[in-house]
Amino acid sequence: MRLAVLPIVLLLVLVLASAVGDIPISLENTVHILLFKLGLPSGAATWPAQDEIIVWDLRLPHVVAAALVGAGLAVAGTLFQSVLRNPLADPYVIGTAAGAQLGVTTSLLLPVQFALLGFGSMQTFAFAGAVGTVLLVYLLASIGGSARVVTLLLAGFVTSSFLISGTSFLLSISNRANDILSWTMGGINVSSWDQLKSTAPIVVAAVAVSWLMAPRLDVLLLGEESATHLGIHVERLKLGAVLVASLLTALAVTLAGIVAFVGLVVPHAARIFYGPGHRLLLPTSALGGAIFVVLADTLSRVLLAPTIIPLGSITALIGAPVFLYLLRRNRRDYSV
Amino acid sequence: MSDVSTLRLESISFAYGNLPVLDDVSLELRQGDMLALVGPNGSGKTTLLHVMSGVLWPSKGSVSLDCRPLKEMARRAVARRIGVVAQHLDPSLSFSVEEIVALGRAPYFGPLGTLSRVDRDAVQDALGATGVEDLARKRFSELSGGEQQRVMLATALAQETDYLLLDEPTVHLDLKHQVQLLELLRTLQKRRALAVVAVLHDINAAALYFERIAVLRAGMLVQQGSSREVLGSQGGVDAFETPLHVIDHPSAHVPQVLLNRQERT
Repeated sequence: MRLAVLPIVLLLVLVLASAVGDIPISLENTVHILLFKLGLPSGAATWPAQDEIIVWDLRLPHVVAAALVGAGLAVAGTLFQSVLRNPLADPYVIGTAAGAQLGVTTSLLLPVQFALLGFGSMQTFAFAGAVGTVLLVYLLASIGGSARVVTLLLAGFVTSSFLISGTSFLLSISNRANDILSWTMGGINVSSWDQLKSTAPIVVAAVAVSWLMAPRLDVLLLGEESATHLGIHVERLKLGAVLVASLLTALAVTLAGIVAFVGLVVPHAARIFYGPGHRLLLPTSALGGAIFVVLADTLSRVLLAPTIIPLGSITALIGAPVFLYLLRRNRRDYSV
Repeated sequence: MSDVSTLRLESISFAYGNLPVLDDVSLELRQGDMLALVGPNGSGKTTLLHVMSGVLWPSKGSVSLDCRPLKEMARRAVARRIGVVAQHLDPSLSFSVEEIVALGRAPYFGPLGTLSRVDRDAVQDALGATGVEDLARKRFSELSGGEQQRVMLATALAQETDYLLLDEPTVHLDLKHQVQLLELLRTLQKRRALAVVAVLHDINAAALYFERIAVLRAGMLVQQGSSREVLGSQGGVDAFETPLHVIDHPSAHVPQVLLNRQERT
């Protein structure tokens, strides 16, 4: 059954990614440790105690964070593409990620940190940056209440460049530039379960909320006018989807810095295998994005070990050619 | 509420910014009516259709359905009563025909959008009525223009509304498919007691198939009535801003217009 493929692959990839690293642990031990920790039948505990710490306490949170980043970015990409009705829309193309990144940088430079409803200051700033950027880009691009696709992409590109310059400026006047730079380029910066406590439930909830929009997003593919005639509150739906997508982008950026192309490539591939209907497209994109980023993160750790390649470079190196290939192959169906 | 459903437009005015498009238009539509909106380009026909369907709100005047202002009704409730056949859908949509027609059930969707028995029956009925049941599994993007047009009609029929609005439904069709579509509209109007409103450029088709014709000119409703009343009056013919010759259809006995070539000296 083709629906079972992705969850099984994700499970395998999660196990594999927990096994490999600078201290390799046998697959057998990894599986046993994971089963044991999850309270499942695992056989006798024959593994070294330190392996347990490496797999469960250090590596798995990192791997799960990678999965959350991938799922979040892929779902955000799907939502942006459907709402803007443009297959090229993506958290990076329309500036959302740049806004979130500026937010993160600002929060890191602030002398005080705070927590708001379980949200750290970094998440709050990232979300504010992401939402602010989407609204700004939409305002810049819209003429008479609706945004043309080309203007939207151009506005996104210009705003994105401006925000990236803003981030660079902040870095240049800061004495913590190196910390922040290594943070934004360093890939998944999670190495304990604690760091996921507030983020993981929100990512899961946001993906679930997006799934509840699926039937209405399907109708929206017929066009805004037709959707209105079919009883959909188009503006309300678009706002809801943009907020969810911005939230997912912001959380992904706080967990991993810059990870480009996931939101562009994964939904494209999911559409080819599972069709344009959102009830299938959103969960398969989430799973596909998780698999993609976990694999990319694993590659970034082992390819030139002990040197860590930036995760964003790996996703871009894989993502850009795949995207171009999809674009050429699927020219006739070049649409969401 | 009276026994027959009524859509009533009362002294509607509408402007895009400072540009007035509709000026004091009043129109009443009852279930079982078949009304053609005709008039020169830019006379406000499409805008009037949008006001009827509640997509655009008039700057003056009111639209009411069975004496309830459209503005006070929920979007979904309106969508269960008034259906609009899309003029154009993204031709590259990769949904199957059946999936697209099923989206016509959106006003009845539960939170998860799953189709009930009733929904599925409505979709099958709509596919059958428009003669596209053989295409049900095909992708929309693989259809010809005429087939796509029928699928868009099927989507609006699956909506099971009392009112069906169409904006130039015959514009991209050859003669055979034009006749098929117009015959289909007439059958639907008879069988389901639908009220059909269509914006048409083809006055002859309007006169042949529609009981009532409303003529718009520069945002004003200048004539309204049977084809004989409208095309028999000077005002109705003048609205088209070009000399026309009106004759009698030899078998259907409705007025038909012929274009007049301008004589050169």
